[in-house]
Amino acid sequence: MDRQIPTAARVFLELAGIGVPAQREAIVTAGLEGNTRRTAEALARRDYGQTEPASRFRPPASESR
Amino acid sequence: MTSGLEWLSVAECARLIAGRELSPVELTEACLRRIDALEGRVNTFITVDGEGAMAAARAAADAIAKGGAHGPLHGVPIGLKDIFGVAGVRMTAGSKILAENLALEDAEATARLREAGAVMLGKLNMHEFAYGATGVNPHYGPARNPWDLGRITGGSSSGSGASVASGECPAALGTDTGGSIRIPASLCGIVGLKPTYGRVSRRGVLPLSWSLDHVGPMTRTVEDAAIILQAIAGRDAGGPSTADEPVPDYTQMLRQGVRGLRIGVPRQFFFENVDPEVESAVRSAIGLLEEMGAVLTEIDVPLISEIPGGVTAIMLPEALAYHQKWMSERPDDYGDDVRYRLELGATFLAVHYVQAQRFREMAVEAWRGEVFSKVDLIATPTTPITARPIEEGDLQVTFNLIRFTNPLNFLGVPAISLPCGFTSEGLPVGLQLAGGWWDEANVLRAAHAYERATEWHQRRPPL
Repeated sequence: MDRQIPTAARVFLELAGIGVPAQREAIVTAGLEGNTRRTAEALARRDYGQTEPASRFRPPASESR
Repeated sequence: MTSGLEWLSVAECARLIAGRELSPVELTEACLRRIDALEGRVNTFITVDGEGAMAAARAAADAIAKGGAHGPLHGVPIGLKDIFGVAGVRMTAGSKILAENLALEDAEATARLREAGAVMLGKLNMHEFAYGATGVNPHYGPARNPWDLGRITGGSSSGSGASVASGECPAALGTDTGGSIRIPASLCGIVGLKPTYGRVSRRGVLPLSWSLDHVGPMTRTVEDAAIILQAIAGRDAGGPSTADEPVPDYTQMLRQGVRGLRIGVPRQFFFENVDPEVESAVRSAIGLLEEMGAVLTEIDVPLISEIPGGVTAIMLPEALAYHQKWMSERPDDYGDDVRYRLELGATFLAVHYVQAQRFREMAVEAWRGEVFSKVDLIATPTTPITARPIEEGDLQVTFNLIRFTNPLNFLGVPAISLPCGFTSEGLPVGLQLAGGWWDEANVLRAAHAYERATEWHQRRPPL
């Protein structure tokens, strides 16, 4: 039996809980191959050293404050 | 509108009201009449709260009559992008999904404006969910540029830009995630200030991207931007989005001139692929600042070519995270462009998001050491293009509109757009001045000095 291999765009969208009508799958695939790939490759080239992410968890103030 | 009232600045309104030369009722009525007369053409409001505005205006007038204390915005009408909570007033965020949504409480910025005495006129048109830079909205129609009604206003704070530019209200609040205050300010010929990230509370404002969202004023003068910022800036103990930084007296520092201010002109990126008429106007403006005593320096801007990618890798996943439930249940209720951007958010991996947040730290350090230790401000065009025709479409126009603004959201530095000329077609051009973190005072000071030396801000659209 032939089994259709899902596109990467379909997999990503389904994992995000988003339905994927066929006509949108092609549009998102183009974006994935263009914008997303360019951005991801640029981010992957960089050496981040010991730099921590900009967004940080903020615990609530202590009870005594 | 009573002759001339539509073009009064916030400062003039406040002074006349405090001196009992102008009634808040008269002023608010005049704004509502102006809105009524122009809305069919500019389409800037989603909800006009005439009843609430008149009640607030009458209360302000009563307070004046009783000689009570006055806030700095006492009786001054202000419009709010339809993304700010105003208790009891519909808040659509420019969407079909929230078309019937009623805000239960004021956003912190709304509450601070009220505390300062402002009168809320209503809720302004915007790009759907603030997720776009054109201001073309499929659900409420496009806000139209007062300088040419067939052209975009820019967005996402489209109604804020067009309503202030067309004299419907003296000031408005907008939000800016990739340029959404500065772009419509530039395209509509007004002043728009994106403060430092964390300077103004975002609590009660519907988010687009928590890491990049900023709240700020849109006005017809730099002084007015300073007055509004003064009213809304500062730590919000009720929310995590603000920093505990002191808020200086912005209006007091306005008149210090630019003599000795160090202004950097970027060697890279910010003057590439720019409309020649835009570049000419901006370079003339920079030249004038030098004639007025600023010290110009050409400067390298580190990591700039990679910063837009960092913005993308943060903004797209955060926006989808906020919208995930609606995207799974009601995807057809989004406009095509916003739906596409949200879908694309699913194609970024967690590692991209985290690396982008690490890159943000690196970029901030690089700019701290290589830019804002050497100059007080940088000067650039706000946008490389002017207002495009509404029917031109979204993707390429959006890419161009946000090019020079979104890096400054990533860095979190304060940046202003102010008028610096007009093209041969009569379209406004914006000058962008950006300063170091928390240094809105110098941004406003330089902008005010330039404004006082020019007459661009006094031109009115042909409505």
